Amino acid sequence: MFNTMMGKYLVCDSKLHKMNAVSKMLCLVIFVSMLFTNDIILLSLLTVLTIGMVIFSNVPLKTYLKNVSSLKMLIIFLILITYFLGGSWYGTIISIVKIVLGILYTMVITYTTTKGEIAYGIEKILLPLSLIKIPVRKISLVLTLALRFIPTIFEQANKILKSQASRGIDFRHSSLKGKVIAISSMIVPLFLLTSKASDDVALAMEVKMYNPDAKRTNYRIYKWNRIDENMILLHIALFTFFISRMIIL
Amino acid sequence: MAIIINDVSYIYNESTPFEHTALKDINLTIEEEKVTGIIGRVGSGKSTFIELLNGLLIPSTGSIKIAGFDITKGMKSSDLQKLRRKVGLVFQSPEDQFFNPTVRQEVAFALKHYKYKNEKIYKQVLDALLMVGLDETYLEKNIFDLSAGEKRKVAIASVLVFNPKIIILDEPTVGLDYDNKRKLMLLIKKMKERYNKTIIIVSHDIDMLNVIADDIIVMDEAEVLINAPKKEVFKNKEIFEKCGISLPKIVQFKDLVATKKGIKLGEYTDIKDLIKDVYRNV
Repeated sequence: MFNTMMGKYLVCDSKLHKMNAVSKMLCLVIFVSMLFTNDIILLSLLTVLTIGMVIFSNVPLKTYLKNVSSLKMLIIFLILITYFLGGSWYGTIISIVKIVLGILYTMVITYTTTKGEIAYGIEKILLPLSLIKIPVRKISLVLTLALRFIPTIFEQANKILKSQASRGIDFRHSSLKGKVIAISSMIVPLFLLTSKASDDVALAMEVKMYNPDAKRTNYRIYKWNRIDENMILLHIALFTFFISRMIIL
Repeated sequence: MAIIINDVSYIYNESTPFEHTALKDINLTIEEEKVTGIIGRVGSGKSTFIELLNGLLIPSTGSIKIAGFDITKGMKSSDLQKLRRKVGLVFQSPEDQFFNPTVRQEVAFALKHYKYKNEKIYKQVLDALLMVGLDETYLEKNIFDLSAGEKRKVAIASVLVFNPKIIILDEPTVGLDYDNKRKLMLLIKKMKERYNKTIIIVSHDIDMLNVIADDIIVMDEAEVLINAPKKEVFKNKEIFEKCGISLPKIVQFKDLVATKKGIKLGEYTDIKDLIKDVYRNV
């Protein structure tokens, strides 16, 4: 079945948990932009950075490994594609590393940041765009709601897979053909159920008199710490290295 | 053959920060060809327990002997498939378990997978629909356009269609009106009496369980507090108080009359029988 731990916040005591959401979002944007590289040196540095963040998050390593292991089908698929279509093995390995790094880094962010903090971080980062009349608050709300639905979609998918399994098609133990049948027959009901759930959320917001245009204040004051400065400096340093490598190469 | 549960525990997300023990050292026997009701607070482990019986989850420790199979760690996937032909599970929310556009496709899903011939599939699908009170006009209907009661019936039909020996129903009466509830209870009774099925029902509806269940299992905080015939179970009021579950209304009424009038009354599932006896004694 699907892993329902993905996208959830985890209560732990770590320096990353105490980081400001704005700096986390900035770091994430810089990190993701650096993943476009194919440079082995930069990818090694990004790997070291990600491992460091995984360790500093104080979230048990097993949790990350369990999530990464759910990518095995995708990795096998990439390997098979390369084998049968004769692509470059170097490119495939680089792609796999980038996928794993991206997932790990995102997991670190979601495990150490609440959804409210993520919304706050996105909103603050996009705030300059409000000068050109872009509805920043609405965009951050949409993004927060999208994040809120990640575990919901996994849970719904699990329910359908369990229903299929109880009537003969077990996703975990079936052949590749069985897996394809299970996944393909799930797409339409999953879409219907998720759209119904999103409709319910929209109605609940309306019932609670939510006004997207109202001016909002924050209940908590998010402080800017030394760790925020250090992390942003580290990411900027890596980004500068990334740009310089691009120019050199 | 009875269902025997030996020292079964189940832990979700084991060895992760999300670890949660849903069942702790469960030992019990569920008699065959009987209706067994499972009741307990939300989060007491009821749904986990029935998913273990269907092999959707494998016990973290212990084993379950059911329908000639032994569900334990390392069970073969081919055995799991065979087990699920004998143990049918109807989930709590029917709309969550549908993945086919029409009623016909949904009910026929298991048969197609088990490679039945088309003529046989049509006959069995129709039989299953008739059994739950739906007719052939429903065959081509869009499953997501049905009412809550009809969806529940389709969910039951999609399990009855492959004729399992054991049928498990998770909260079957949720969202049903009085008439549909009564029909469902008659169907359960028929499945037990005419087709000799072993039926396990997870429900918060204690009044319904009082009418149709033979045995009742009370669960709380991942443990089984009592597993006995319903008459004995309802005598243990302190267990019900501990779990925050009320006794069936008919039992409460009977106890009240018996205490106030100082008379001895039997066990009842029908209020008319109770009233007759009260008049006879007073």
